[in-house]
Amino acid sequence: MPKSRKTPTFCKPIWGPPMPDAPVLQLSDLNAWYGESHILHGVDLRVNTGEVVCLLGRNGAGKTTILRSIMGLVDRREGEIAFAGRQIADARPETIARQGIGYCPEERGIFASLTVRENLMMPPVVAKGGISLDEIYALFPNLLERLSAQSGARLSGGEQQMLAIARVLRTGAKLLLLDEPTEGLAPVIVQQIARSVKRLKELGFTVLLVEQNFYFASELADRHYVIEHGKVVGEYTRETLKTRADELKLLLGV
Amino acid sequence: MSLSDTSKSGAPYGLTMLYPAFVVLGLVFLLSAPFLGVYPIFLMKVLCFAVMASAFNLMLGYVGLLSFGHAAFFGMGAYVLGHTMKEWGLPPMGGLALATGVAALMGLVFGAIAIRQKGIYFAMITMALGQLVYFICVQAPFTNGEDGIQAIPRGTVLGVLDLRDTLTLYYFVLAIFIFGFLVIYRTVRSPLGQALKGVRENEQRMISLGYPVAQMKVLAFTISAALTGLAGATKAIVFQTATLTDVQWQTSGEAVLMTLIGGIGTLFGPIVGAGIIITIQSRFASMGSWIMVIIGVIFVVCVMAFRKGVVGTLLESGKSGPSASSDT
Amino acid sequence: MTDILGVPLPLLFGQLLIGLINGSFYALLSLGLAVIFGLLNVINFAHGAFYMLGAVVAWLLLTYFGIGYFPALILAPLIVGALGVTLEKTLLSRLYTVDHLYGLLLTFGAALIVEGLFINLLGVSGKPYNTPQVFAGGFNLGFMFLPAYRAWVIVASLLVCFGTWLMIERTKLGSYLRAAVESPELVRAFGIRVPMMMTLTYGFAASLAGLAGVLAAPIYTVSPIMGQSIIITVFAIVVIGGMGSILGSILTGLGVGLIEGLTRLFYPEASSVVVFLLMIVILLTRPHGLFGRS
Repeated sequence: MPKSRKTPTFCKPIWGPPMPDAPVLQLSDLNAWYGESHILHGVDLRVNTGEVVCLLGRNGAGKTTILRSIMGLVDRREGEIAFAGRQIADARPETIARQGIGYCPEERGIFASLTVRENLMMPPVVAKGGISLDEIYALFPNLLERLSAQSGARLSGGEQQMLAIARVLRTGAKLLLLDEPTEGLAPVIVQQIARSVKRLKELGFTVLLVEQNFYFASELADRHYVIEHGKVVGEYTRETLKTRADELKLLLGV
Repeated sequence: MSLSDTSKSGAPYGLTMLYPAFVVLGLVFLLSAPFLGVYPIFLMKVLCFAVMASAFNLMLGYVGLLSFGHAAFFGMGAYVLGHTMKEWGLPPMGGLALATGVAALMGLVFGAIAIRQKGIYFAMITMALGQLVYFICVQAPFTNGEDGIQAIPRGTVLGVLDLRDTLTLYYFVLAIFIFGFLVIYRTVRSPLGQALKGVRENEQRMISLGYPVAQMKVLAFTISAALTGLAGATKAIVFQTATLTDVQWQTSGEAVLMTLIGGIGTLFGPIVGAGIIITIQSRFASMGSWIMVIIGVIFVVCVMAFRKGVVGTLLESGKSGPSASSDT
Repeated sequence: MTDILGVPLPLLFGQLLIGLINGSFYALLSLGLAVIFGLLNVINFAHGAFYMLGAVVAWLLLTYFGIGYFPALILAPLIVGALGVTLEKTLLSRLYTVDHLYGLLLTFGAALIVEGLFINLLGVSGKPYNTPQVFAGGFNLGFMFLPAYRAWVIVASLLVCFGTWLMIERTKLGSYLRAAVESPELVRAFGIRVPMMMTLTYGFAASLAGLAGVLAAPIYTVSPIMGQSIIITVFAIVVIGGMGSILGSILTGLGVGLIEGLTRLFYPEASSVVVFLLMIVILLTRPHGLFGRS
């Protein structure tokens, strides 16, 4: 076993303890369009430093569009997006990423024409304090074994998901946007991903998560927003989630 | 995003209601033009290229396929007419029919080959096929190579109309132009035209609905090629020559430009475009190869800032103008 | 044995050599087209004009500024590349959101402008460009005489082609490029300036065409229309190879050059059309090209 796994130096939080009152990300009255279609209709939400926040909602509610709007990947945006105190609603994707946001897209976005190692090393480092490769391999041992694979497409779905998360950990991004990390994965892999995300929280990462898997989400997230028709229609903390479970299930149609 | 937005979402009513008026006005102008002091040879050239550009637009505007090889049909039409009338002594109608037939056959073969790829590839393939025909024409004996076929006799139509008379020739060419336009009009309005519109908007859907999409495209390409051959043959009667210029890729480029400047996917755009480009060419004929630069600049300006073309822009303004609301 | 199918060996090798030289130019040009198409989704009609510009700029540098072959080998591609960057930055980049055919039409217009300007400036007749002194003479290979300059052209083009291939397949920068071909928006979302990458890629491919032009200058005469017919041949090569692979476009370019050479030997009448016939055969049997993916 490599040394780094025995003495996990990465256990120390990177950015200090969670500060619940300091929003690292705040969306105010966010509207977004793809071409002519108006997808988001005034989204308000905030993510505090060190929190794991989950966006719940049915298919087509606009969850993915929220993440894509934050990254600047929609055709048009209106409203405010404040990240670490800076307005990024007018910025271009490459600028937004360089402010320190790590993005794991829907369906993982692993590049087939890149080797696994190239996929891992692709996102450039945008800030100090990224996790070292050794620490990444400790977090995702499977990746180390598959590192020499010729194409990212050769990996299984679970391995691709781990790679998609792993590659943004290197970059020093403080906020991670994870779009449905459990989609299409076997339960045992889902548990593994859940453990990794918990670990990331312990390490001080802030996570904004889109999830369909309600049980995965309820286990991980500190707070939840329910999205419907491009708006926030409900907010739940970890505690109220349990007491108001029926109401929520009605909203989600599960 | 589609190349031609004007014809797509329901015809703009304001101006389409006026279409008959425009058509009548245009026809009156064309019929009386020789008496208005317009140089008939110039007008006939415009009419020939208008047929070619309209036929080209049938592919680009209504099927969404950019052919960069239409010079092959145009030039071959001219050569076939020249050869059959001069060497075989065929009358004009026979020469025209044969030229159109040969071009149609070429269109069928080209179409069957090029249809295997879409979009940008289609443009490259048609251009390469056009170049193939060009090189064949350079070497084949019946084209007389660099000299081309000269002094093609104009002949007499059905033993009655002597085409050596410029005025008779003009009305004959006008009739061919009207015929070509009607063929295109009918094709666009036919079930085939409607289905092709569906292909342009969503090809996969049309395939799953069971339309023989590939055959439909080849058929449209054949019609387009046949009319282009007819245009080239008519041009050969007017100018009494058939040369390598007709079959060069620059001629394909002219068809593209006429359609672009007039309005892709509009019925009258290519005609207007042919008028504009031929006018520019004859006005600046003394400037030699500066014409190439001028044509290039027009291309760039149209692509950057004038993608709807003259007719497309007119239709657009008609749609938003006051006349539109009253008509709907 | 000095005959193959009744053809004397020196003649055979002579034609193969010409084929290989043409093939090297095809490879440089189709490589550039493939790179541009991959990232920008544009068929660059101006590629023939860039090739011509490379040769013409080298000739202008020599004639008016006394700048020789070797400096021109660097300078001319740089100038052509700068022109490509300008074209992409000012015009082409504004067309990425509309139908891809407009990109083709724009570069077609740009090619007409550039070619028209130089026809007015220099006329269509070819201008000779002397082979640099260093490459006078050649090697006697026993079965044929290999002029030194032709050897240099082949070696230099192959080095540049395979260097480009290595850069794309094996370097960090190349991995950005490959990733951006797959998903430009995701690559942007990692903080890489893809629009700038597109500009530089276009400029780089243009300079490759310019380099081919400089290399060609001492072999063919320098003329403003030298790019017009080669570009259509290269289009056919691109269709034959399929746009899928960089290596594929290099190999197809070389292969077509050789086949043309052989055709010139055995059936000269067909040498100008063989590439198009080959394209037809490939389209009928493998519609996506030899190296293409559907």
